[in-house]
Amino acid sequence: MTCRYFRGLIEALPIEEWHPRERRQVNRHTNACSDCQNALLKANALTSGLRQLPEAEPPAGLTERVLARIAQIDESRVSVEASPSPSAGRTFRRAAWCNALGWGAMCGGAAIAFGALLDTFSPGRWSTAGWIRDASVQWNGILKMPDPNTATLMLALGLLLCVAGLFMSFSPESY
Amino acid sequence: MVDSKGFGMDRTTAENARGSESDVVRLAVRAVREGHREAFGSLVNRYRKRIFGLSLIIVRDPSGAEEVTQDAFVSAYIHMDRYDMDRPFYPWLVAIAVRHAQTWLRRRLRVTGREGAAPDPGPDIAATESDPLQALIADERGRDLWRLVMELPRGQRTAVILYYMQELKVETIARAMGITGGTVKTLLFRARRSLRQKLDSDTHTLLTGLGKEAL
Repeated sequence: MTCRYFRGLIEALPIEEWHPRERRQVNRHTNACSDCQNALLKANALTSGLRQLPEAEPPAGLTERVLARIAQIDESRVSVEASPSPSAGRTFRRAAWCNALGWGAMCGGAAIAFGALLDTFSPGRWSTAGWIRDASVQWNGILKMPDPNTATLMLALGLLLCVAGLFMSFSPESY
Repeated sequence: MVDSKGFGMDRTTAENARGSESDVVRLAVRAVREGHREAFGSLVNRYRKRIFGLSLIIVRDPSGAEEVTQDAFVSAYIHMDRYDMDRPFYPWLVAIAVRHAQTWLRRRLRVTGREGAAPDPGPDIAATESDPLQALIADERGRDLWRLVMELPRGQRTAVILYYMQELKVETIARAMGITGGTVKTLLFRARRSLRQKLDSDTHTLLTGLGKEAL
């Protein structure tokens, strides 16, 4: 092996990256060759000079500033979790609609039940109750039902609507 | 132990000597993951100097280096769940810092380009009064070497600081920089060659003086 080979090795890589076999070869060669020994000393000098370079001191308060930013991030995470998301907004609007429909059904059912009760206690006196009776007779004709007690049927329908409305307006989605 | 020719303790031994340190770091990381924010303060205190030094070498601007350091730590905190506990923590942090430093440099390049100025390689802080390291390096030879390191291209000076000053292994540097081990060796070779040539042309006595000290 020539000096050129050893020079290339010495200049190419830091000593730590050499293979143990290469270290032994360089050691043997530099014992006999003063030029390569000089090159090795220069390479080592450069390595030790680079290792002795001090690292810069970070500015004062760096840790505190980092921790303050992290605290802000944690707080914003918490507020994001607490604030309603767009999907939460959609859920809220749907719940509001359910609530409104529930109240509507409840009021409508109560009105029908009330009308049916009026017709029971004073038949023919209230034009609304008479209209309900006419409508129920017509429906009985369409549905081919036997002649029912119309007032009882309307009362049951009204109550059913009322209960359904109650459930709709108090469904968990509303809150 | 270093013999007369500089065949010193190998890097693996040096890294193994930090075994207890990695245990402490692992405990801190676990605490952070469990929601103890103050445990992250110990990690910042432990690594701020090394990360700031690295950032300063890459971006060559003290205020930019602080920004990069802060961003790196904040990113590490946010993405702590992605850290693999089986691997050492510092190289993971270095990888984040290197990416933030590259982003910072790109951003500054865009800004200077938009302002119509020619994109410069960055302020040569080694030549300015405000260089925080110039004050720390007592002897003139060390200051010259520092100035020459700062004049190296970005990849080379990053590899130099990680290898020589922070004593990371080539494979670790490669992972942190997102390149191969062969490329790291090439960067180190080019950096050494460039430094040697500049030192030879600048002043012959610099190397001679360093050589005497090393012996």
